[in-house]
Amino acid sequence: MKLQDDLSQAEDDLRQAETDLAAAKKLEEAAARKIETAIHDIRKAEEHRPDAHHVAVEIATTSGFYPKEHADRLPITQPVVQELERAAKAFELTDTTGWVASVDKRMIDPRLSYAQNRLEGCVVIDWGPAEGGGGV
Amino acid sequence: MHALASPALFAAQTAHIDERIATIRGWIINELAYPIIDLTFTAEGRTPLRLAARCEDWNSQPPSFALLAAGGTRLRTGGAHKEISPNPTSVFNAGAHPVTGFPFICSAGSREYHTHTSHTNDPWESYRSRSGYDLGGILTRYWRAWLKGTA
Repeated sequence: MKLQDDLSQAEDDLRQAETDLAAAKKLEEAAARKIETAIHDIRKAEEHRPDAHHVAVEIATTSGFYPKEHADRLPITQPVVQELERAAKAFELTDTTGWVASVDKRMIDPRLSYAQNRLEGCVVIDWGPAEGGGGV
Repeated sequence: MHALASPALFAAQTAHIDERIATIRGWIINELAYPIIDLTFTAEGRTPLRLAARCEDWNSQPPSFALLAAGGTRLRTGGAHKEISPNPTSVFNAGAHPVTGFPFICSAGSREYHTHTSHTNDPWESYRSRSGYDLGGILTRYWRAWLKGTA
């Protein structure tokens, strides 16, 4: 009788162990997916991270930010105007004559590169029409 | 402008005037719901200037701007207003507007400019479809004019 009980108990334990193992495998798979996502996010973030030769650029306008998702990683030698042109295209701005660009309220010259404008790291360029004339 | 088109155009043109751009520019958004745009311009070393724009019938009519202190008190003539001083662009006029009697924005895009007796020959109609004269563009112009007075 005791042998029968022991066998039955062993079978129960085995079933429980199999259930636990299946649950653990699912958790392991979920963790692996999380790690994969995190690695992907880190790599994606690194693609847009500035370094000694690159700036991370966003264009801020009252029509929105360009790019929408994340900053563009651009060579510090690239003229600022190139990114402004891409933003104009994205926002379907047909005429930006007389618009001005500034960073932290300091006016910059879009014809010059980021380096020539003394810009480095993460840069948000505020772009829009210049003040009009005033006076009666 | 059709009664429904004006709010729709207002909504489209103010959709991205949000906390993100406000933070970069030092704007405080007090109210932004048709037909009101109520913003405060702030900058280090400056007395904040609050603009309350009424945009009924946008964009058949340009917005009407009231100049306010940060607390909401309307600027009146006769005082030395730190909110609009210095004023190197002359965009902000501390004198009495011939229609409203209050200090006003004297630059294209504001109703007070286009209805001023000195500018009736410069109608809004010739600006309304031009680049940079949407609501965001007009606000940007006045903000940049205000900033020019910042050391």
